[in-house]
Amino acid sequence: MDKNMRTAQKRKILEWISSFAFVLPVVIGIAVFTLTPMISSLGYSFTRTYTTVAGMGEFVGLKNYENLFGVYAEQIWDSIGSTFLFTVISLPITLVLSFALALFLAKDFKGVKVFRVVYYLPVMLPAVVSGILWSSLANGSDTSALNVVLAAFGAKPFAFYDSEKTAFFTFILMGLFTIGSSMILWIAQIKAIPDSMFEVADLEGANYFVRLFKIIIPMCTPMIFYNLIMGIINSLQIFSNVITLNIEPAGKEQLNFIVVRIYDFYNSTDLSTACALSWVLFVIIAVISALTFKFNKWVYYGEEV
Amino acid sequence: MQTIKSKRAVGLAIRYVVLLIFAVIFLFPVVELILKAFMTDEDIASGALFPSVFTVAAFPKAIDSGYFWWLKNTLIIGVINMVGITLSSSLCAYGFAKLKFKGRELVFSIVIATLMLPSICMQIPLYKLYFGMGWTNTWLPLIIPGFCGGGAINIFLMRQYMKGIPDSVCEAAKVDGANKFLIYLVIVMPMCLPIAGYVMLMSFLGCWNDFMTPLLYINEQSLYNLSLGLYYRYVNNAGSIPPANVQMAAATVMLLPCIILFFFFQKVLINGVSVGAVKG
Amino acid sequence: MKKFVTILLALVMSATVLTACSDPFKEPEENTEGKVAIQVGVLGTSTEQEALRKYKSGFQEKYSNVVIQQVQLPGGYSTAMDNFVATGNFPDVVFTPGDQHAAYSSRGHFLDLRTFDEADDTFSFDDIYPELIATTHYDSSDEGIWFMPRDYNKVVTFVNKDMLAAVPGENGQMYAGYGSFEELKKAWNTDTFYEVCAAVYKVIEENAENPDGVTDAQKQAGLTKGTNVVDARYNWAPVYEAMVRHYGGKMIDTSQLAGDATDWSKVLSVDTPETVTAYRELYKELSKPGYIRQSLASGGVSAFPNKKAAFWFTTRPSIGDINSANATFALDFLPFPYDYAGVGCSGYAITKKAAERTSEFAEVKAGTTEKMTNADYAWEFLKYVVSEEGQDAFGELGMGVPSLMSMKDKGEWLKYKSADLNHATFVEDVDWQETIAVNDIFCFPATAQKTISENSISIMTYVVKDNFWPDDLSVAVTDRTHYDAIYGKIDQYKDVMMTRIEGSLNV
Repeated sequence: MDKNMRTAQKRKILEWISSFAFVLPVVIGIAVFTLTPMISSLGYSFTRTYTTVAGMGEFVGLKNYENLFGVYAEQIWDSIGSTFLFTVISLPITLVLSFALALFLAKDFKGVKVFRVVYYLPVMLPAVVSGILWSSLANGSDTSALNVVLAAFGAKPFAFYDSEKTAFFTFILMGLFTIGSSMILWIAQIKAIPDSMFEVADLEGANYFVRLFKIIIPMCTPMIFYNLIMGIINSLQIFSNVITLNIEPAGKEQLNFIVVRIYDFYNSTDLSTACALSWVLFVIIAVISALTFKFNKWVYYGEEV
Repeated sequence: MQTIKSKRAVGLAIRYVVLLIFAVIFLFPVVELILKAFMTDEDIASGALFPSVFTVAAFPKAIDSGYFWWLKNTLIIGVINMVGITLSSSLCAYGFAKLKFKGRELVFSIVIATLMLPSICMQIPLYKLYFGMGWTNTWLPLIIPGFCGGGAINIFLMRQYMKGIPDSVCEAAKVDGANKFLIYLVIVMPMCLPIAGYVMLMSFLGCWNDFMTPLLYINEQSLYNLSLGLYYRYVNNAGSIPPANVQMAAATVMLLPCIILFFFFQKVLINGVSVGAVKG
Repeated sequence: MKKFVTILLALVMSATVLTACSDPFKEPEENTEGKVAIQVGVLGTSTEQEALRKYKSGFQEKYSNVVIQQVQLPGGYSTAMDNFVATGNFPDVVFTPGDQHAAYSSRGHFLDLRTFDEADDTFSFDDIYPELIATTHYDSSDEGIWFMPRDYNKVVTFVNKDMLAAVPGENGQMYAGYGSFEELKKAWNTDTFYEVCAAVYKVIEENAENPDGVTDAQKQAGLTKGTNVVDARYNWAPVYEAMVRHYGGKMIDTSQLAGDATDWSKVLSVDTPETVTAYRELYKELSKPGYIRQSLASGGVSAFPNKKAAFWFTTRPSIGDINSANATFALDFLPFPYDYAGVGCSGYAITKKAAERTSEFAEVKAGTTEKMTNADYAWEFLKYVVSEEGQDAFGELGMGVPSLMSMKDKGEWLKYKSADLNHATFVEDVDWQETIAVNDIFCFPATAQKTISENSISIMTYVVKDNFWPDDLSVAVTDRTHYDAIYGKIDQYKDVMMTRIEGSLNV
C-alpha cells in the first residue's frame, strides 16, 4: 500500500515535470529576458553607473530619483506632459476612427477586400521606412509633397514637422495613418457577432442606431478594453516613430516623450538616470493599467470559454 | 418599395464615396513613396508629385552590395525567428491549453502580465546582460528570445485556438498510448495550422520591420538588418545623405515583400486576428 | 496562385541569400603566422576603411614582421567605444575623431603619447600643426597628447564652378562680375562672398519664377528652383562657432572657467549681448537675404554634393561625399569667408590595453632586455601615419590634408583630381583670418556634453529663422523687450543645458 502510494506520488511528480516541460521555454524566457533585467535596472537606478565605465558604479541611494524630480524636474514633467497629451489626444481619435471604418468594412460588399487592404497598407510600413517617408513628405519646405498638395488647393505652405508649433500636431496626424491595425481587430470582432442577434433586432424593427448601441458596441466591449489597455501602454512608450524621423531640431524637441528622454540619458552615458526614469515610467504605466482594470465593469465577456 | 431601394442605393453611394476619399488619403504616402523612387534628382528638388520621366536611376544607387548583404541578414534572422517563435509558442500554448498541472494558471497569468511591462525598462539593462554573455554584436539577442516562448501574444493566440480543439480527440489518442509530445505533434499541431500560419507570418514581418533590438545590441555593419542599415544611411548619418529618390528606392524594395505577403495571406491574417478578437 | 507566389517569393529570397555570399564589410583574412599582430579599430565608413588600408599596406612593406589587423569600430564612435570600455577589450590602436575623445582619454583608456615621444629621438610633435595638438587634450588644463593627429581639417568653401560660370554680375561678366575663378579668388573675402551670394540668389529666383527662360548653361549647372546659394552646415560646431566669432560672439567662453568656483552659466555664453548681436548679424547678412535655407530638414540631404548649392562650408574629407553622390560638376576651393576658421582633425590613439599585450614574436626593445609590447609597435605605426610616406599614401585618396607642416606645399594630396585646383587653400594662412580649434565643449562635464552640443545646434537653427526676429534690427540687443522672442528661445535652451550640467555635477 505504502509502496503503491509512493509510486503514485512519483508518477504524479513525473507527470507534472513532463507537463511543465512544455511551458519551460517561456518560464526561462521571462526569468532571463524580463525579470533579470527589470531587477538589475532597479539596481542601476540606485547607483551612479556610466555606460563608459565597466560594471556597476557606486551606490548613491535615491540620488538619481532626487535629480529627476529636482534638477531635471522641469524637463521630466514636460516629457510626462507631452506623453500624456499625446495619449489623450491620439488614442480616442484612433479608437473612434478605426471603429467607424470597421463599421463600414465589416459587412461584405463589392470591393470590401480592396478597401481593407488599402487601409491596412500604411501599417505595413517598417518603422524606418515610415520615418524616412514622413520626414520627406511632411517637412516644412515648399517642395515637400504635402505642401505641394496644399499649394494645389491654393493654401500657404504649412510647417508640419519643421516648426515647434506644428510638429506635435503633425506627429499625431501621421500616427492616424496606422489606425488600420485596430480596424482589423474591430472587423474581426464585429463579424463574430452571431447573426441571430441581428435577426432578432430586425424582427423588433430596431433601426441602425439601436443596433449599433444595443448590439454591436456591447458585443465589442472586450475588444474596446483590449485596444484601450494596449493603446495606453503603447502610446506611453512611443519611441521608434520619433527617432526614425529626420527632421529639424525645433520639431523633434516637441516630441520629447518619456522614452525618448530615457534614450537621451542612456546616450549621454548616464545609464543610472536612464534606469531611474524607466522605473518612473513603469510605475506610471502600472498605476494607469491597474485603474483601467478596476473600472472595467462595462466589459461584456459573454460566457466563460 | 421603390423608395427603400433608392434609399439603399443612396446609402451605398455614400459609403463608397466616403471609403474612396479615405482610400485616397491612406494610399497617398505609399504611392508617393513608390513614385518618388522613380523620379530624377531634378523632380525631387522641384517637389514634383509625379515623375516627369520614369527612371530607375535611383535604384542602383540604393541597392548596392551592402544593401544586399543586409537583406540577406534580415531574411536569415526572419526565417530563424519564424521557426523559433512558432515552435516555442505552440509548445507553451499546448502546455497551457491541453495539459493540466499545478501552477498552470499562475504561470499563464504571469505570461500575460508581461504584455504590460514597458519594454524600455528591460532593454537598457539587457544591454549589460547580453554584454556579459558576449551576445552583443551577434544575432543571439535577435534570435534566442524568440525560442524562449516567442512572446506572450503568440502564446495567447495559440492557446485560444487550441482550446477550441475538443479534449475528446486528445483523450482518444492518450488511450491509444500516445504520449503528450506525440499528441502535440500528430494531433494538435495539424489542427492548428491556420493559427500557426498567422504566427509565422506575423513573426516574419515583425522581424523584417524590427528596429529597436538591432539598434541597441548590434553595432557592426556586417551584422545589421535592413532596418538598421537604412537608419544609419538615411536618418542618422553624420556624412551626406542622398536625395529622396535614392531613399525611397531603398524603402520601396524593403516594403515590397511586406506588401506581397500581405496581399496573398490576407485571409490568414484576418483569421488569425479573429481568433484573438472573438475569444479575447 | 497563392502557392505559386509563395514559392516564387521563397525562391527569390533564397537566391538573395545565395548571391550575397561575400561580406562587403569585412576585410579579407591575412596570414599572421610568425608575425606581431596589431589590431587597429576604425569606423565602418568607406573613407576610414580605405584610409587604413592605405596605411596598412605601406606600413607592412616597411615592417615585414608586423601585421595590421583592421577591426571595424561598430556603429557610431561612442557606441563602439562604450562597448570596448565595458568588455575591456580594446584593440591596440583606435581611430579617434578630434572632438570625441575626451570621454575616453580623460578616463584613462588611452596612453599619453608624450612618453613615447620623449623616449624616441626620431620623432617630434613640433612637426605637426600646433592647432591640431591643441585638440588632442581633453580639456583646457590638460597637456596630454592622447592621439596622433592624422589630417589637418580646416573648414573651407567648396565651390561649384559650373554654377558661378553661369552667374552674370552687373557688368555682364560671369562669376558674378569677376570674370574668372582666378579673379574671384584674388578678391575673396567676406564682402565678396556676400556679393557673389546675392548674384547667385538673383539668378535662382529669376529661374524659379520663369522656368522657361532658363539658359542652357544655367540649367546644366543646376541653377533652378530648389537650389541653394550656400549649403552652410550652420548646425556643425566648426562652422557656427567660427561664424559667431566673426561677429564678435562666443558660444562657450572658456575664459570664465575658474576651477571649482566656476559659474557655469557664464561659461555657457550663448546669451550674452555680444553673442546675440552675432546671431543677429548672421541672420541679417546670410539668412534674411535667402542665402541659406532656413530649414535643415528636407531629409537632411546635403545639397552641394547633389548639385543643389553653389557653395559648401566643409572640410576636405567631404570630397568622399561628392564622389559617392556621382554628380559631375567642376569643383574648386576657396577659404572660409569669415575672420575665423574652425580647424579639427582625426587620428589614432594607442589604448592602455596595448601596453599589457606582448606578442610571442615581438623583438627585444633596443637598449633593454624587455620585449616590445603591442603599444611599442603601435607607436611605430603612428609614426608611420605621420611620416611623409604615410601621409602621401593617405593623400592619394584625396580626402585628407597632411597634418605634417613640412608637407604644406608638397605631396600627393596636391595632385588629387587636378594639380590646378586651389588645394593650397586647405592649409594656407589667410591674412585676414585666424584658425581656431573647436574643442571648448570639453570643459563641460562628460555627461552634459551631448546635451550642450545638441542644444547649441538648436539655438543656431532658431537664430537663422525669420519668425523670431523683430522687423527693426537696428535696436541694440541689450533691449531685451525688443528681442523678447529670440531671447525667450535662447533662454529656454540655456535652461536645458544648465540643467544637464547641474545634474551631471550633482551626483
